[in-house]
Amino acid sequence: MTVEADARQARDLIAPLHAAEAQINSVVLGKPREIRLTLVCLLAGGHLLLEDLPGVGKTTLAQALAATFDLDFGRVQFTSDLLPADLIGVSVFDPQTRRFDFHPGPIFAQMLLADEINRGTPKLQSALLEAMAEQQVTVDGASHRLPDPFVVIATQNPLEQSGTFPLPESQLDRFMFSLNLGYPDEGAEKALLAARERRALIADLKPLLDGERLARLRDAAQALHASPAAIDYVYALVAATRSERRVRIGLSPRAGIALLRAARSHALLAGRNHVLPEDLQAVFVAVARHRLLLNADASGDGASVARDLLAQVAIP
Amino acid sequence: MRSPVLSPRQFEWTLAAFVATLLAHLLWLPAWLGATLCGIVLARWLQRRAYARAWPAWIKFPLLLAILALVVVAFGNAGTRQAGPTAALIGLATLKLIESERRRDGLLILTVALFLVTVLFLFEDGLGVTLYMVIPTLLIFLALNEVSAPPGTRGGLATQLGTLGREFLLLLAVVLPLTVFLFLSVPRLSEPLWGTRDNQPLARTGLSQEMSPGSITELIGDDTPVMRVTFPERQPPKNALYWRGPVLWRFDGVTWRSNNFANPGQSLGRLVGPQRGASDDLRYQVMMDPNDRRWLFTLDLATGFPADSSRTIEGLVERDRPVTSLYAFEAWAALDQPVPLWAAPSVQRENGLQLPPDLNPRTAALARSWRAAIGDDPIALAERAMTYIRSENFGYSLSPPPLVGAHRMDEFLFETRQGFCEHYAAAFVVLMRGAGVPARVVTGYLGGDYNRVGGYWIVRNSDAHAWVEILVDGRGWIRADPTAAIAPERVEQSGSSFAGQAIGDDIEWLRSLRERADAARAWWNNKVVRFDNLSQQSFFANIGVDPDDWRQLAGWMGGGLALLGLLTALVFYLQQRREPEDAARQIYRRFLKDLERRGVRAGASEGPRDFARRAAIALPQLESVIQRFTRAYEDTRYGVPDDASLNRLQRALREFRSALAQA
Repeated sequence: MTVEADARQARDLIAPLHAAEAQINSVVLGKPREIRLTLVCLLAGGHLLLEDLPGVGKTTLAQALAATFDLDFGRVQFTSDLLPADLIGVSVFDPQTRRFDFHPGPIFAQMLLADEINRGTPKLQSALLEAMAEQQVTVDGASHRLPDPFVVIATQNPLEQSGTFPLPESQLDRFMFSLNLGYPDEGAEKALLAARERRALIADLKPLLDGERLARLRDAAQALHASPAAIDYVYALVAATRSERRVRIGLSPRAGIALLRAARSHALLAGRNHVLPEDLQAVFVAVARHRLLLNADASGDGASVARDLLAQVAIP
Repeated sequence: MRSPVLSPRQFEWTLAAFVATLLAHLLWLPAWLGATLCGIVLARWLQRRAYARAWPAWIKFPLLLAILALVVVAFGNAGTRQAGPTAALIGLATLKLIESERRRDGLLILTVALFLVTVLFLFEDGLGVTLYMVIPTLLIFLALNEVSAPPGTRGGLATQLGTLGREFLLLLAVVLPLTVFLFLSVPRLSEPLWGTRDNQPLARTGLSQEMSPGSITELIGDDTPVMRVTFPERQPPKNALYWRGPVLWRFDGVTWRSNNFANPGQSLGRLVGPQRGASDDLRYQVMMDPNDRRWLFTLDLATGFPADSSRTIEGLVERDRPVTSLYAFEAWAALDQPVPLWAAPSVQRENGLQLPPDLNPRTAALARSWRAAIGDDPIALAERAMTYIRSENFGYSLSPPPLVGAHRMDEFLFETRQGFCEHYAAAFVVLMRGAGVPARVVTGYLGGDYNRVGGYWIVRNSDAHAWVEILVDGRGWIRADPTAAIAPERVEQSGSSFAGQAIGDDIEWLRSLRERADAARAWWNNKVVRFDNLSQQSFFANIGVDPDDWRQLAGWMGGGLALLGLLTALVFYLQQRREPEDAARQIYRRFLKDLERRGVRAGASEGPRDFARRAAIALPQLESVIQRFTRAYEDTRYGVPDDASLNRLQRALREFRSALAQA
């Protein structure tokens, strides 16, 4: 196959992605960077953790994504009395067939919005995170495969709020990205106020992609070339987190793998067939912020430390 | 997993390294064998340029048999121990080249080439060859570097040399001291176990035990050094430097031959070395090039000569076995002392009068007339002959008219009268013998060139000469050189410059350059090739180690090796700390440096694309070249591997620089 044909095919592949990006941007206003990163996360097959106050558009974003990608959407509001069975589903005895039938819970969706995940009990959290890792759930000894793709967008209130159960560190690692949407800027917020209600807008969205095309895009992204130089940079960044003074536990090898996966997806979105340092820089903070565990006396948060490291580490 | 296929570039690197090695071996391989191998390599190169494929078996196997047959024909009967197997190895490696398609094959060929570099020194040990071998060695390492990396990740030759330069110098810093140390310290045997030049398959030129017309002119054109001589005490005059070689007695009308006086095993009148000359004799040191003969060319009269040699009844110093490798010895001479009649005077006299019967009647008549006029005083008769040659219309020529008849001496003396040393020596002896004075021809070398840089004399084959000795009762054999009568300048100049062949000897710098080159060769011969157990002992004595005391020797060796080991560890530690930089990265660094001079400085953590955007804003007139270069850099360093990308990057840098220069 010729290079031109390759390039044309790649363009055909990512053109709908760019259309999708534009469509989501028309609903979630003033957040192009975050939307780009969300798409990267989706392409890289990762789960997303949105850490924000209520009402800044987390749900709108998730719904817009699900509508655009034509994904089957599910939503669970985590509370302290929610039980794992409420999420996963239960086996119910059917007197007619004299058998236990499995009734799937809301987790059986292609895109699951897990709202306020840190309000759930640790037991509930771990059920969700296990499902995220294995892409299957086990009830009464029977395994049930979750749909494919299976994307979890979890939201988390800032940790200082009362009545929360902080997510265990090992489980935070399951989320590829952690994003902070924040308030929109003035123009975006005024536009938001002036326009129609978001719910109506989302109902109008056209599905531009589907699960099958997403799977192909994911394969294409992971086939992109990462040169030894790019891998050197990944290592340099990961190693820097481990020797940084403010950090108690640096990035794990799994985080390094996630960083490279995300960078490949970012490169694909940019229409390139190889990873550049800029790809790694674009996704590094999102990959690192929730994984970096800071020392108790360290100032700042994971994101600011990650940004500092990015500025310090020389590109090899 | 199959070894990856060699890219064209990797294949050509391998080929180049192998050819460079092969070229050195052409020095000793028979020309037609060498030509065959070169032909195969060339054919293979052209074929692989067209398409990458190994040759089919029906070509390979007949070729294999043919090459082996050629080797057997060339070396089967020569009885040499290493030449045959080495030629076979070279042939097989050449054949391996025609089926080399994969990395594994390339590595194998390069390893064999490296071995062949070492093996060459069994056949050639000159300074020039040794220096040349740096090239194939370097090429082999560069090719190994190229072949062992994925295609396209190494730059062009200049980039490669730049990247490897540091590494290479570091390795050299480790290896060189170690080599020198081992060279000096590893105990040497008095005789090498292997690798003597006995294996030299080529015949050498030089003097022989016969002299017929033309045998010396052949040598006049040959610049090969015979020996280099140093006079540590006093410099003798140049016209006294008659280096004695074979003595010729028997004349059949055309050819002069030696007698059996000097045959090996002939003990009559022989003096066995080592001998030391008297204190006022002239002492000198000779470094003789191998000539596969037993004669040691010494000055008359040889009073001191080395062990394993003896002085024959003819005054010639002979070694017990041929000089097959560089041979150094010390000798003494009593200059201008005639060669005495040590033994068998009557036999010598009788042999000194032998003439072919019924030949050259006019010469005989002339000699008889002198005898009748002057009497039997040999000196007076010799002077008469000299006067005759000087006064009649004789001329010195290196290309005289050929002598073809039965009476060749008559022809020369009365008709052509053009000739050089061998004609004059022959005619002189015939005249002397005709007049009843015993005479003989002595061949050897006359003079030499003084090397002002090295302070030694170099004697070449072109200095070959023939002169005469006449027997004077009570004194012995006295030297007479008729060539000096006809062409005194031959005695004053060296053979080659007299023959007008030493072009540029009048040009001072050229001459000085030649002298320097030869002095380097002499140094190499003396200090490196001839570094034997004796030189080693004097080296140990100089540093105060007694080589016979094993504890001291072990201490020296152990200490030296430990020190060098430490040095090696240090160098490798330093090297490990700084990995060699990627070629593309180096080029990018140059780009950054250029822009920094224009005030645009890249941050260490700034990606190339981000930086390019910023630089383009700062230098808008350069925007397009900056973007193009950056794209080329990204493609090379981060893109999918591609053979040509580095070249594109280099082009982009040139383009950027020329735009920068114009801006």
